[in-house]
Amino acid sequence: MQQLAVEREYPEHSRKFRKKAALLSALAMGLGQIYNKQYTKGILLLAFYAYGIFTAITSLPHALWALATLGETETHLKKVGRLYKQVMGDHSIFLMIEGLITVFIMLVLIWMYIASIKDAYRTGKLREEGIQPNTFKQTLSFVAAYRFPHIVLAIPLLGVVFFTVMPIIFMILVAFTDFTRDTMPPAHLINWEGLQAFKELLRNSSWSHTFYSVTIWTFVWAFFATVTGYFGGFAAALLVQQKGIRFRAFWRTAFILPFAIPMFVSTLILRNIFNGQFGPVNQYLGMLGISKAPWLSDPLWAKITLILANFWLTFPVSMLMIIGILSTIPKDMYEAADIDGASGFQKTRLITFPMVMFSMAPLIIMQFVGNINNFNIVYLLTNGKPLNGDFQFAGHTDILITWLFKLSMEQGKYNYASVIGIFIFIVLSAFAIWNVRRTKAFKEEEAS
Amino acid sequence: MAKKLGLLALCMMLMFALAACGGKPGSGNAETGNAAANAGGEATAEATEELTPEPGAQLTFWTIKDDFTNYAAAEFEKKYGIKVTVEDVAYWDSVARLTTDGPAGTGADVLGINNDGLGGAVKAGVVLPNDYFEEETKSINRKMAVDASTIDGILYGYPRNVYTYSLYVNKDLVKDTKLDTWDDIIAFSKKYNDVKNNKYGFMFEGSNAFYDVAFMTGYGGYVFGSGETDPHDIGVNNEGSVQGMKFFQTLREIMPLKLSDATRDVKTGLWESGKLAINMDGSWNIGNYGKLPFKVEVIPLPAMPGGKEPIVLAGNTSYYVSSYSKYPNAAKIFASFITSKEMQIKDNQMTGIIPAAEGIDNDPSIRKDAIMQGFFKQMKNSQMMSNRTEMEYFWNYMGPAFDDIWNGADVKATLDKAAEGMKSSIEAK
Repeated sequence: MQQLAVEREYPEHSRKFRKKAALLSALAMGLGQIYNKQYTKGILLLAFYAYGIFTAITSLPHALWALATLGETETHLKKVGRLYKQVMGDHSIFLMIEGLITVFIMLVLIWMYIASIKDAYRTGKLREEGIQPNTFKQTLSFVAAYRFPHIVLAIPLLGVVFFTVMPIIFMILVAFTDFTRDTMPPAHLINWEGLQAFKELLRNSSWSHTFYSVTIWTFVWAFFATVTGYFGGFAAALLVQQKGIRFRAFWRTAFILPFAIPMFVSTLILRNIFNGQFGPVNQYLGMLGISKAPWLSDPLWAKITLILANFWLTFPVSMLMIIGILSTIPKDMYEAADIDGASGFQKTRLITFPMVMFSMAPLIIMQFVGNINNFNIVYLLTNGKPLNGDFQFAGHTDILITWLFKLSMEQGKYNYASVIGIFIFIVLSAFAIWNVRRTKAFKEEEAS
Repeated sequence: MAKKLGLLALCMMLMFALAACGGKPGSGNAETGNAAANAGGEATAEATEELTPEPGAQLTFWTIKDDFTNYAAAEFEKKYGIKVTVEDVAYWDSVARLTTDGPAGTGADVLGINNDGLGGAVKAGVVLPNDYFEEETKSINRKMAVDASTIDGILYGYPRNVYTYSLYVNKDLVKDTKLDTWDDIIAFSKKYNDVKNNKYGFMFEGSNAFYDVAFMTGYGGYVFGSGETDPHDIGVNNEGSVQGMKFFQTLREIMPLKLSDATRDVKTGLWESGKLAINMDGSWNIGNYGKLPFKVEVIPLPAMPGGKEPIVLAGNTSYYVSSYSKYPNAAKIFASFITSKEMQIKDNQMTGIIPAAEGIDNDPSIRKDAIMQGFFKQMKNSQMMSNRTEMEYFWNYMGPAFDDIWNGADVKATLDKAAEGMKSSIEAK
């Protein structure tokens, strides 16, 4: 009712402001603003509009052509007299990137265009209501006072778009091409191949066998790596924090040492320590009369060694975090349990464990996700070895990310590597989203 | 109100965006400009057959930096007045770097590549053929080095050196023991081996298939036919290879280890501490192993039992001119200059490489030590590894096969399976 009353206060003829402003803005971005007497803003927008039209005419057709064909002229050598000359043709990869950037800029400009129409419409409506539109100066001071964080955030946002989103889109696009070392630009053109690489990896027997085996091992590895690291840390934390333990600080420092040494140094050392013939571990075992273990040369042993080494390098972090959580558990719970005659094991199982799990669950999931992508330790400790003749460019202990690395950096099969990249991306983002939701659920639980 | 301000914020943001990448959409034009400049270069090359360096040329040179490369760059500057910046880029990384740095304009003009990387470089079109100095290069260098720098009949490289592997012998341990056949080595090792104390008569890095090939070739095995150039003729499972691999299996008797445990670290450690008598290793260690506190000699791989002498794999390092170079003429002159006969001799004296140049093994200025001469002998029994990209399938399938055979798998079946894998991968290309 209130609204009706307001509308009636203004004469009919003044109501066309908003329509006219919106129409003018639709005609050319900025005209509506000028019509609304916001001259500086209007001219600024008009300049963007001009730039947009210019880009659309000069670059967009080229960009669309580039994305659709990925280039048409091949680079080739031409012999002139005694000398060869390289006649440069199209470079598919650059064409793809440039095309993507142009399309991105166009999308942003179109978004701006729509926003400016909306803005003209709104300002027009304000004028109808008799409110003076903001001058440019007022707008600026308002922005500086109230919208400053948005402006500052816009810069990293741009970074995200151009350095994170763009490369991901580029990677996804590569999976649909025939980009390998044999079609390496500039000498060759890359072609769109559709789902060929996906089909090869998921259906073709030798590739799919590798893919599925490596995937299964990746998850098995991530599971055991996380669980051993976590429970190892838990056990160490319980022992260190136990009543009556002396030199607590000393134990804590001693246990944190493996973590304090840069991981790649310790990993490279471990690689020699576990050498089947010359490594100290087997030498000592030999002295004790125990037969030598093929730590890194037998597929199953290599996998176990990997998990053991990872346990050794990661349990200190879990231990430190769990020590922190243990100190937050109220003492009276244990006292009450003591009065009820609970054993030490019962106290751990029914009080300590649930309390720690409650805080640690999201972190464990993140550790699991991290272990799926734990390139360092696998690459440095075993480098995927022992070799496996049944696999395509992967060894027994290769996980997806190291296989991806080998395929792209060593074998130049960029399209297959991209398919694996997409797969890893999907798995990781699924876990990340799930984890964020869980965390939120926790917060609500605490609030209620 | 908020919406309007949001719009303004967006404007600001866009201004950053456009300022940041305003040049991008137009860079396609810049490339066509580049092509036009190239076309201009063609015209001048046609007019004059004399190769003159471009005025104002300066070169970036990717190689493994050592005394020699610095010396050569300085000499070149003295002679031609062209500044050469030497950057440390390994021969096996240079191609990958050039494919990204070249188009960006920050790549090298002249770069070193090992012959196993040449196939990829040519496929990617990042190196120019050696056209102007072709005759000269062919006349001064060993045929194997020239062939290793050639793909599909076009010579690309300016060979610098060749490398291979052979037997380094610790004379203090071996003394006067006869090492003329593999049987001699086996006999010596059996006597000398003391596994408990990590003393070994003979050791090689078997987890690297590069070294294992030696045992395949003694009875007539090979990787690719027609002198390692025909990837459709695979010889890894022929009769000779099978026989050779059966012999390879018997070596476990004197090297009772898993191949993956005989790593380079371990082997080098044992060798340098004088616990390893015969060390099969590469010529790139000539410099290091020449300075050890015991007497070192190099002997070629001896004959197989009842067979011929094995042919070891060899490699070659050559310099190449980048196809992205702004000064291709100057780059060609430099590549030719640094690989001339005199420079190769100088390189041999300063760093101990095996020169690619022919007929200088007896040159008075070449290093005369027993290590160098051993390698010169071994070079006669060597075969360049293929520079074709198909070689990747050899490493991929034969690596595990050598491992399985060493661990006692059936030789014929394992080799057949690996050969089948190589064949199907090569056909599928």
